[in-house]
This record gives sequence, C-alpha cells and structure tokens, in this order.
Amino acid sequence: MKDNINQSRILSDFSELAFHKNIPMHTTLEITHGCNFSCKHCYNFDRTQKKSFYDESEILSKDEILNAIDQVCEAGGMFINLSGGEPLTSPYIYDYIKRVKFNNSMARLKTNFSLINPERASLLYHAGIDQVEGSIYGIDEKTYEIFTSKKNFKNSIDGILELKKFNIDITANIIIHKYNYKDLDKMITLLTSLDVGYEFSDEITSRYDKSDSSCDMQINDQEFEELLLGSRGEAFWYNNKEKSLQCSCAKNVCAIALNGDVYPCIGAPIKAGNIKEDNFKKIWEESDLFNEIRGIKSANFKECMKCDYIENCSRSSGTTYINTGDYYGCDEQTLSQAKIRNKHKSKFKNAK
Amino acid sequence: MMNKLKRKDNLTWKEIENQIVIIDALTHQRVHKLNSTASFIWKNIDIPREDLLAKMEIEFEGDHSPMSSDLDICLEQLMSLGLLSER
Repeated sequence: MKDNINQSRILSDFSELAFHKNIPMHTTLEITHGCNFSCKHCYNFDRTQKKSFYDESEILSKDEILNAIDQVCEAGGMFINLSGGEPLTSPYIYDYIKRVKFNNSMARLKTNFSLINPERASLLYHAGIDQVEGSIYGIDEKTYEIFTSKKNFKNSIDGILELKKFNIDITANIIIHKYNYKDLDKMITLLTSLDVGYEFSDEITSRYDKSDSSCDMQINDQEFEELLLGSRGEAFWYNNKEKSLQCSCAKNVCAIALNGDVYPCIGAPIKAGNIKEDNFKKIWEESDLFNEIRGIKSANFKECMKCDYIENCSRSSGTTYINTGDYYGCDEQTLSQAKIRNKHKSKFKNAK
Repeated sequence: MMNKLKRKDNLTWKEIENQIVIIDALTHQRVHKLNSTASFIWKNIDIPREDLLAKMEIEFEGDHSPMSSDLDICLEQLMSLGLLSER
C-alpha cells in the first residue's frame, strides 16, 4: 500500500530543493490557442471578440515546441504541463506527450475534458500521458453554456469516464464563478462519486490581451463570504502568519507561451526572453527579469508590508501583475477577501 | 545479469544534486527517492555489469566484492519495486 504522507513528503522536499536551486521543475507550455470552448473567464484573450491572440507567423511550430520540450526537460523540468487553449485541438498533442516521456519527465495535460472520446483516451494512454488535469465549470448544461458558451457538461463528464477506463490519473479543477458557487457541494459530490480528485479555485483574472470582461465572472465579496462561512469554509481560509510573499515564479516554476515568450509563471505573463532568439537554459539562468524575481525580498512588497491584512492574504504575484500591471502591488479583490477572512478569524482559530 | 535489465518504460525521473526521484504513474504516482549509491546505479544501468562495478569502485572508493554485493542488493530492490524490467 502506498504511504501517501511519505510519498508527498518526498515530492515536496524535492520541489523545495528545486526552489532553492532555481530549477524549472514545474513548467507549462502553451501548445495551441485553439479551443472548442469560448470561456468568458479565459486568461488568454477575449474569445468572444477574436479567434487568436498571436499572428500565425509568431506561433511556435511543431518542431520548435518539441525542441522547447527537450530544452526544458534538460534544464530539470520534471512536471511538464501541456496547456492551451484546449491542447486536444492540436494535431500534435500525442507527439508532444511522447517527447516529454522520452525525456523522462511527467506529461500532464490541461484540458476541459470535453473532447476526450474513446479513441482520444486510448491515444493519450498509449502516448504515455501521466496525469490529466481538467477544468469543471458547473453541474449542468445551463451553467456550462453561460460560462463556456457551449453545452458541454455531459461531454466533459463522459471524457472523465473514458480516461478512467485507462486508469489515467485525473484531477478536476473546479473553477468557482458567480454562476456556480452555490453548486460547489454538488460538483464535489459528483467528482467524488466518479472517484476523481479535485481542487478548486475562485481566481479569475484579467487577460493577456489586457481586456478584463473575464472579471465579470468573479464571485463578489458577499459570495466569497458565503463560501467562507459555508460547509467548505476551511478551503477558503488562508493563514499567512509568516507574512510570506515570494511565490515560486522563476524559482521552480516557469512557462513558455505559444509565441515562444518565456514567463516566470503562466499566471504572470512577463517576458523574460523568447526561445526563438535564445535557448531556454540561457534565458532561465541569465534573464535580468528572472534574476530580479529570484532576489525579491519582503521589503520589495511595500504596500503588503504595511497592510493590516497580510496574515490572511492569499496574494499571488501573477494575479496581481495581470490585474494591476504591478508585480509588487496590491490586487483589490485579493485584499477584499483577506479583509473578509480577517473579520471571521475567530471561526478559524484552529484551522491550519 | 546487469545488461539484461533496463529502466521500466514511462517512468518519470529527475536528478537534483545527486538525488534521484522517480515517479511511477502507472502505480498511481508511487514516488521513490534513491540514495546516492542507488542513484549512481540507476543512471548507469545501461552499461555492462563489470563496467558499472568498475565505475562504482572508483566513485565510492570501495572494494570489488562488497561493491558487487551492494549492486546485487540494489538491483533486487529496484526490481521488486517494479522500476526495472528485462530487456
């Protein structure tokens, strides 16, 4: 029988070592911006307005993506997240998975599940996929249609079932938004009945193209408070007594956008270099931006250091950057949620 | 025996500072951490046994006989964990 605590400790110790040695252990690669959904919250670009974010000439070719996989794995990339758009719209997804496995790394697919049919599940399995992490947006077709512009709830659940036939490790990421937050328990019950692990997040940000209508989908303060005081409240609690502000950006986390730009994290689209111009290792090791981020001290976060709510703040530098343009700044919604947690801190005095 | 064994397909493994961690997704993400001797053997598993033993003697400054025994024990353990397969 697997010793989960020990297993988890081995990985967290290894991840911490990578953090201190600046090894891009967790790297996300955008392999396409094509998608069969038009999610209102999508962080890539406003899909209701246009079909793509980059010019065709800017997008990495298949060979360039394969080369990027080799370079990232050579630099220590252990967990390679193949992301999109919807990566299953790429005709080369199976080639990318095979290349990750050739490099002894873990191939993870970030998907919406809806395109996974018996044939694709088999192809993913035989290509060597290690993990599939997919988003779940609601408990019914109506919610899916509001949020993703498509009635794909059943297709998504069917996709999960097809993956399970091959015993593929699945995690569902429940995206909490204003149209589904009341259904959180139902979504968890459904996923539990399918024997699928889950995480959830209420983080919805502005987009790479600077548009911010995605934020219309965010839960508001009152809705957040309802969740915090609800049956899953502890999951929305955040305790930052150490006043820690440095995240994993450019330490053991990295991302490569579809045009080859290298970012400190997929959630922080700040260009450190481009793999069409320099090799990944050089950008990772020598970029001024990355070295600045690695040298960040708490004192760099001037607003945070004098904030009364820092101990309950779940601040993410990526979210803050994309919403405010300031990597060191303060995001309004994050602060509001920290204030709400602080208001109810007595309820969570025994929480971790 | 040595060159009849190979790493099992589709494992995830990386080395940081002489530590190797292996993840076996097919056994529900079972995670293994190898010590420095096992890491050395793991990295050099493709070469013939006698060559590997010679490399081990240099790397760990040990004698042939105990080193040979250590190698066999390590290979047995890696096999029992399902991390190696026959070529």
